Amino acid sequence: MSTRPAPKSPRRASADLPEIRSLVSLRAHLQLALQVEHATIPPYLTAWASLRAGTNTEAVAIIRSVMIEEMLHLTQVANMLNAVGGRPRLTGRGFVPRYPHRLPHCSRKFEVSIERFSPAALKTFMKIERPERSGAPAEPGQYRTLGQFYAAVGQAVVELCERLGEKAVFCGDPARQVQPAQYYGSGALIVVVNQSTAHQAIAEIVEQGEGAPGDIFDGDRQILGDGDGQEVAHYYRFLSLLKGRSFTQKDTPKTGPTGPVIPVDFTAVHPLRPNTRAMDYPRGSPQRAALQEFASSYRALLSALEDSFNGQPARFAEGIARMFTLHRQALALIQTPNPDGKTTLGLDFRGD
Amino acid sequence: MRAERQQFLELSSELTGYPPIDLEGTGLVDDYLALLGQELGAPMVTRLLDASRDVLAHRAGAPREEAMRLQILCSPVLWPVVSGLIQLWYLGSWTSLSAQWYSLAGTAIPSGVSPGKSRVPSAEAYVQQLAYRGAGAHPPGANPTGHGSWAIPPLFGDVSPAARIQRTGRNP
Amino acid sequence: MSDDHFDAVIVGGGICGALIARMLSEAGKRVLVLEAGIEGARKPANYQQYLQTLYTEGGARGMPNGPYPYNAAAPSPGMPFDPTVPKGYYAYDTPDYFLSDYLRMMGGTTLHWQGTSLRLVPNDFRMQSVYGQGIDWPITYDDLEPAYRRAELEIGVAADVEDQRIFGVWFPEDYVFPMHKMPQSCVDQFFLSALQGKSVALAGGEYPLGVISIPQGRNSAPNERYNGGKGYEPVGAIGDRDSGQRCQGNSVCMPICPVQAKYTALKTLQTLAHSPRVEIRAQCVASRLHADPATGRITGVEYKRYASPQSPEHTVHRVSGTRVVLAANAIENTTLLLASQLANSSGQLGRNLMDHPYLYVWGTAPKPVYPFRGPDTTSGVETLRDGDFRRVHAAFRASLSNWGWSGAPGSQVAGLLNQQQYGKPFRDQLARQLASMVKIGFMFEQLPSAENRVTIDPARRDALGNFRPVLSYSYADYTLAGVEAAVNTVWGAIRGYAGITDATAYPDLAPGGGFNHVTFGNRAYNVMGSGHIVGTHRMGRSRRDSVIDSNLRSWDHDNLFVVGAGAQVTIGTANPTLTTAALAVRAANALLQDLR
Repeated sequence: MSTRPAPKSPRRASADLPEIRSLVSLRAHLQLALQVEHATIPPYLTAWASLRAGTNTEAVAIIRSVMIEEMLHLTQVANMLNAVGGRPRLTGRGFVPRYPHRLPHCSRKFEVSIERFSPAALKTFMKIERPERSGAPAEPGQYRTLGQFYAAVGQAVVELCERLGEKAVFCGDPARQVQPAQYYGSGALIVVVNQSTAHQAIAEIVEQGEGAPGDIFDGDRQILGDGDGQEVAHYYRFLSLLKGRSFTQKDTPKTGPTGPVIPVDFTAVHPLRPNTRAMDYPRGSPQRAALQEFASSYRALLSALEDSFNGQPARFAEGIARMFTLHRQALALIQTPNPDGKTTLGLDFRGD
Repeated sequence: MRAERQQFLELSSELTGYPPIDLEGTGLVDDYLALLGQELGAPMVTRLLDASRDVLAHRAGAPREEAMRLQILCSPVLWPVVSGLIQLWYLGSWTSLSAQWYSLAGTAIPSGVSPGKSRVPSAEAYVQQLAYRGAGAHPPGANPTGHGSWAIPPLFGDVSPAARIQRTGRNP
Repeated sequence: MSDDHFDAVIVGGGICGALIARMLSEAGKRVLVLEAGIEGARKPANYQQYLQTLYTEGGARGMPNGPYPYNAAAPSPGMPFDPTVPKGYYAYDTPDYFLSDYLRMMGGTTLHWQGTSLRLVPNDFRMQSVYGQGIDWPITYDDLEPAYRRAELEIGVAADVEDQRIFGVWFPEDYVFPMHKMPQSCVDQFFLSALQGKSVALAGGEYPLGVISIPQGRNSAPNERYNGGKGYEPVGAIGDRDSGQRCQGNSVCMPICPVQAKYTALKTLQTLAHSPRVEIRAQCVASRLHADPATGRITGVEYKRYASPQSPEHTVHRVSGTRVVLAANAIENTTLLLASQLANSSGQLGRNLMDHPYLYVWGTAPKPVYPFRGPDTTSGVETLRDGDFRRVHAAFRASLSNWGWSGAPGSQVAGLLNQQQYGKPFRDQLARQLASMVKIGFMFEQLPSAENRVTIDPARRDALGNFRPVLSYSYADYTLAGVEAAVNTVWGAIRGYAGITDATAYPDLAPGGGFNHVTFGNRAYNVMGSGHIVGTHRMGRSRRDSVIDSNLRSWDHDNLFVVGAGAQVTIGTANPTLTTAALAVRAANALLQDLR
């Protein structure tokens, strides 16, 4: 087990009362968090899969690492939701958004697309992960960043525990927790059973995404290089790809990346059609069938994950097998040319 | 050129039993057509695609099978090419035709070609080989199926319990 | 201490050298590791390149060293691959070819090993006493048990103790392996079901056919109860921690794991990367040890340093150590000592060369079992590793292969094309054929024999002028009688219980085919090597019949330790790497006592 620093107490989002006033509302927020964490996965997966085989090896590794951590966050949120007596849902009709998509928690107007790796895509990813400016307050129900959203959740946990008692809040069946041994990838999955572990889980998610204020590291291990040092938060990983340079331990948000050059070739990318829909192709066409097949495969993956989050942990292994199959299918669609000969099919995660 | 590519794609589909969109998904259609050109010379490729157009013009089923038999399977020139092409798609490996074949075909051996020599034309050819797919498996070292996947039946393939090959004719 | 004198000079950067370097340096000792090969796979960029070589040239370069670059200055057997000359680098003095090989590169043979991490069973240590065959070790299973646990930690072994308590193999009561057993494959489940409660008759009685999960050095789910509840963190790829956290089923463990989920000694070396007490020198081939003729103490290790693996040009250097450890594998340790004319008052140096003769049987299951997925082997029939029959013939294990028949799918594609099949019928038939393939690998023990040996010959040297190994090797009836029992009785029984249609054939092909075509009884068999090289500098109770003592210290040179599978007295039916690592732990403990 890695030792981690004592979890920070959640920063108060504002002097006002946060929006979350009840256990039911807390669960709804966590379900929303599940949706938000998930919503970033199809865009990251698409950007990752769009990189041509054998090229952009560092970009491939970086985006893959972010995606794996997002899946960790997803699982972590499921653990939190289960801990407070909720039931994680991944198969509801609206769970997979239609892209381009405005993230639900977010007041800023920007859209996330299913598109190929590009400077524009990287900038969008950075907006998703953008760190909280120090002292930035949140309006109730209106959060500028994921960090603020989670801060409000953390605050709600504190207040609900004060009002209702910790046991009443953390009333979920511990058997529904996904265990660290089942989940693998960077970062340790936290089993959530009480306030302390809930705050740890939130801190882990926020630090991996945005980093701690003023600092670009998330307090854990290094992913680039030879295994020592600290990991760079998601926002700064995308920035390093955009700038074409990696961060060193001495760098700060002000200095920017001063480490070794990261060669990034934005032309070595499959020209997939952004935000493609199966419906865009004629009924009975092989393209529509292929895209619907992919969407159906994605639904099967979410179904396996949902079951594993709802008391059937054995289905997690099937979820993982489905992820690998999905990756192969994604690669096939991303390199299948469109009739126009200029773009490739792309991916439809909903199919309808 | 596009007509040639389309004809090659349809022939490959007929020969491999995989629909054209699956072959497009390998990203190797252009590479393999170019390989044929390098190995056989343009006139032989044209001859092959002309025969293919003729065969595929027949109705699917018995008429097409008969046309395939007469024009390609029975041809001592075209069958070795087609056999090699099936091997290329299924195993990601091409074996250059023999000196006797070039003589029989009336084609000079193109420079750079070593008759009888086998090679894997690219790393991607290795990765995309079709042979394992029907069994719900993958080439060694590529397209792994995921931790623990070997403990459950495959989620894809022609023999997978989950296979919907009958309905869609496609291999997910 | 001068710049070129160390507490310990270790010859060899494989699992033994790395593990001993780790244990010594963690105790504050200064260590030099001399590796004959290149740094190679230690660099992520090279690793990726080797993977590409596997894709584009794997078939042409032979296995299992195929992906790795040729090194003319420190050659490994089988490289460059030449189908007409078995194993190249070796010279042979007998008609049976010794077919196992190794890899001389930083990380050693663990780069291409399968990962199977079995302990020896207690009777393996006392074959003479119990069965009147072979010779007893100077130590017992009980003596080695703690070192096995340290080795299991270093390698990162995935297994459940509940499965592994057979033939007297015991563990401390609260012990668990670092990781849970690897998920068992559909192939395993098929055999588990078919062989449940079944048995077979061998000389001396009836034996159960038990299918048991194989302990392996490959990342699986960590066991939260490991180490008193502290748990275990799987070690991923060098330079990319996220990669290799779990086996993802690349199905190419041998020769190279694309994501480094499999243990290699590079992972142990990685823990030393920033240690100020460890220096690692690559491209340095130890060529001679120097000893004080009066005391026998090793006074220096002479090595040849080459700049390029393509050229024999080199410079000669010398270093010294308070202790010297040879960890270059059973054959290279031997040729170095023979070249130095040391450590052989017993006359046993180079003798008792053993391998696990290996052969496949294969067939078609009555229903799909979905092979070509996962690690090569996740379970085996392990209940024939010991028993009364060892009085008359070899024991063996039977690995259940997850990778279908050898030569598949190429042979099957060729077969269908021969029938002019194409299109959907081709696709369907191929899928059905592949999905039902089963294959079993039998691995047999061999008894120590003075005539199976490694020698050197001044007329047979490599490009650097170092001695090539000259091998004399043959199979004794004891082993071949085991082969006969396995292929005829055991495989016959398994087929019957499981409804398998036999497809096994042993054609007599040219020697480069990678096996010895051997006749025994009224049948011929194609027997291969397992890559296990054991026994050439064995330990013993007495200097008269062994090269080293039970702490792996040379009887003749008290500051010299000779480590590796060469130290084993018998080979049993355990793939040797785990035992080799455990013996290295034993040697390290003795070294630490010395260096106190």
